[in-house]
Amino acid sequence: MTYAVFAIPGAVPAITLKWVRWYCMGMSDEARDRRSLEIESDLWEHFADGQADGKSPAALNVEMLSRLLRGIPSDIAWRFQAEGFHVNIQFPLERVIGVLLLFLLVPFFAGSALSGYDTRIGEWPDAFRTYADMSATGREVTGYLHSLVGVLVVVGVSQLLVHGVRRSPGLIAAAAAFLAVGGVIMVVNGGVYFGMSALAEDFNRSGDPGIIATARGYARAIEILAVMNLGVMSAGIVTLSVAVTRLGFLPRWMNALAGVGGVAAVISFGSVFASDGYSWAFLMVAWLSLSLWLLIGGLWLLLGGSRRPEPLISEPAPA
Amino acid sequence: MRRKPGTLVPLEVSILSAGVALALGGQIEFHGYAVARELRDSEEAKRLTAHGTLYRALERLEQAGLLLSRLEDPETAAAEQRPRRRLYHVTAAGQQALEASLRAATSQLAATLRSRRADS
Repeated sequence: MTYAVFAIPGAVPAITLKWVRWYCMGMSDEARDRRSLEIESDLWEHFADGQADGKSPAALNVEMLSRLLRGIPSDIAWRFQAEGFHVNIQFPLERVIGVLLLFLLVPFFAGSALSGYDTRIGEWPDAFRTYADMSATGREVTGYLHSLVGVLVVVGVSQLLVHGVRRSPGLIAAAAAFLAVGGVIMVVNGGVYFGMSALAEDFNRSGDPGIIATARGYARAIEILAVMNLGVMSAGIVTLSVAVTRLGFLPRWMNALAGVGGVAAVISFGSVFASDGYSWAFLMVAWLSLSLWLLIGGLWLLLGGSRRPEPLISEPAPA
Repeated sequence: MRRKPGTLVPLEVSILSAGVALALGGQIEFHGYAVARELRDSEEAKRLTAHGTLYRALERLEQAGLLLSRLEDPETAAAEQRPRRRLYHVTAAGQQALEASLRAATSQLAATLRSRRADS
């Protein structure tokens, strides 16, 4: 696109070109560029001709809008005639990754959240009784959420693999593997939530105090799985950040944000094993940095301009 | 509705006629908007042909070999600070198809007039 057409006052030329871009989506570059350039040239000529006739920009915009609207049935017919009713829409890789990054915020929040119950030996019985007093739906909704999001993570990551592995085989595959493990952990965690809910149901029926100790094991498992999830998701996000930066989709400074998150996550896990009191501070830094990277990176890739070159005015003259 | 092979729809006849008229006026090659303007002026239409209708028909005519097109030199467009034009011209086959179509229309009109005279 030459952008010369955007010098024309009014919104209609831009709307027309957006419409062209939309109905040409999925077509070959040659066919799409031919139609875009032709319409762009037409709009420019129309405006220049109208100005020479003394027409106002507003009147010309109305004329252009009329030509756009009256031509829509033909545009659609042409689109399907050109490539049949099979529409092979190929979304640019950066848009796919952008959607994935924004979506990953959900499992990153949900998957790394702990059960919220105090699992210390002295406090657990009361915490479990409170949990058991909840309705079954209230208890199981977390399990459903984890399972659903876990499955969606695996599906989303498979799309990343399909679209991106040819562009950066090692890094994309590694990021996909980490994130897929995160998705599987969420599904497993969902199952543990269901198991703990079933134990609560048994406890409500029988009042057997032995169930409380078993349920504590489930609650600890949820905590461990959440930390594991945070670990693999962090590794996946940091790897993904390196991959998308190498692909040139995001500026290099974004890597620093993910890097801070990655380093904080590693220190946090080290602190857990060293049993010092700072692990949560590092964990929060890791979580916030990586969440911020997902948010900024996702919006950047989704709303930023496509990297596909559109050299219509500068393409070489035909031989 | 499918048309008979080798026949032209009215818009295609109009486009070829406009192309021939422009060529007779010295403009051998023409761009899409020039055709739309020519159609509006010659047929005294109120509105310019819609984008979708016009460019679909132009592409159809080119695929049928009745028009040929090329992208103009980028330097020309850059010098005039405007987008590059796709320039069309009517081929010999296009002129023949137009002639045949106009002849068929004329003979059909003549036949209609004859039958009206016979009826009255």
